Amino acid sequence: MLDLFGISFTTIVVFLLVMRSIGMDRVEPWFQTFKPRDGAKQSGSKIWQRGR
Amino acid sequence: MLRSLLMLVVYLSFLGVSMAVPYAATLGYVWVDIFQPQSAAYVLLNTLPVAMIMGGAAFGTYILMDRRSPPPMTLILVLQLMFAAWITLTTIYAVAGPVAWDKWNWAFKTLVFSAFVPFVIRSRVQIEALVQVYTLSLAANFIPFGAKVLLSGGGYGIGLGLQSGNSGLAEGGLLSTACLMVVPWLLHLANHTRLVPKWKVVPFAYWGLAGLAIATAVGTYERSALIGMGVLAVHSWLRAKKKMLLGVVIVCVGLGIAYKASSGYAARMSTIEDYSSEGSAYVRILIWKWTLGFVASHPAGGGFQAYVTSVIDVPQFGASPAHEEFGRAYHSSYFEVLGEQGIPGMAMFLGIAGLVLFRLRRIAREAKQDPEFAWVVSLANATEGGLAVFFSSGAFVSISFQPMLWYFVAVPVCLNAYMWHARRQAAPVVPRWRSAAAPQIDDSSPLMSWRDRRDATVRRTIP
Repeated sequence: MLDLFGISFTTIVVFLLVMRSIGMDRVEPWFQTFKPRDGAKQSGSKIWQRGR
Repeated sequence: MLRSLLMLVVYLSFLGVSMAVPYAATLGYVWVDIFQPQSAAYVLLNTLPVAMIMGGAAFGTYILMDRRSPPPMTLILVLQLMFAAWITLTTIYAVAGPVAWDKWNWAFKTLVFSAFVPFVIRSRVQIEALVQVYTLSLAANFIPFGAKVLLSGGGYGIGLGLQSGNSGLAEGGLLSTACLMVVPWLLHLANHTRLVPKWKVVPFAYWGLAGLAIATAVGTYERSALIGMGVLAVHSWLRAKKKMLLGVVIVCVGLGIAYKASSGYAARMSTIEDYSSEGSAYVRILIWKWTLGFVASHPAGGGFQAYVTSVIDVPQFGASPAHEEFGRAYHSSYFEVLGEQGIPGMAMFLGIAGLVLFRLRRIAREAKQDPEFAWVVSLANATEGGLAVFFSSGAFVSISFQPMLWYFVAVPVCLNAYMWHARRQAAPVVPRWRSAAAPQIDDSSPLMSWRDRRDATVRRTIP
């Protein structure tokens, strides 16, 4: 009985969470913008890349 | 029958959804890998190569449909791929012969899939979905096990979980280590989940699951679990903001375990102190000595299952007379890697472990600078806690190629890639001298590299 509960509960919750994640992933931006509190203290302070 | 149908429907749903949303197949593979529905089903799923189908869907849908925002190539990823290649090489000349390929078959898939995960799991939602699916897939095993332990007590070698036998999660050493590793993730989800609606009961549900995971670890009567619990308690206390409160909770949990645990549990744990008086513990020391001698003569390792060639002289213990023992397992993840993959393999394994722990510290320190990234700090600390459990408990169980460790390696790589993309979003764009000096070219020009053309396409499609 406990086994059945463990299997059913987790299977259903996993399925619901995956469905919810798909919905959220479509509407939300993939990456947050990183804004350090004490200014740009990142390595090299600038990221060298071609124009975006 | 009904549960078989339920699992079949969910399995098919993963496959169906992945045709539109490629990362669903990767989550499906994690579910199949950890929960193993094929071993709990009575019809259809138990006859199909479910992991192979889902793995194929994960790779196929990613390659055909979704190669956006790949992670930066890091030394961890390179070492993982090198390690996968190295275990293949050592299997070719394995001293155990063709039987070594049985272990290579799943170990190789585990390593490659772990390196593949960061390519598919990129956004915050996807990272949390991965952690949730892993945690709940494991919970399918420890919910019934932990509940049975709380109701009627556990015991060494007693199968209370979903799987039977003495391999995979049916083996107490792996089950207890995996359960303790996932406790920090559960506590992280209790505070930072976004996929589960913000109901007041949600944190209590995660804490309850963490309690069942600890009960399972205790109920296996594994001595390695006691070490893992100690490491988990120390790590959690060191990383906690409310040290006094957590200290009280840890002491209460410890007292509760000491009060509830039977005399059999206490007797088994006491053998840690005097290993020479207990056969099983002392034989480990002997097999580790044998492994060191084996590596001295086979520096490149003996390939998978090399332990089958071991011969050790076991002295008399109580009623058990002195005897020779053949083919004793390593009983340690470190000696497993050392004996099977030799010094180069051990160097790669420790390199991955060291780099992952170092990277997690860097990620947590950096993410602390932005309050919006509190979840990154929390997940980095939780993953570090899980790895600390593995690297302590795992010293006494041969589980170095089990997927539990390698998913905990994949998540830091995902977090690192996430932070890399987040920094790029905020960074001022400074053209390189080469592109600044070169004339501007349009996206369709053959002079443009494939990576720039891809980035330009993504910029056009994503507002």
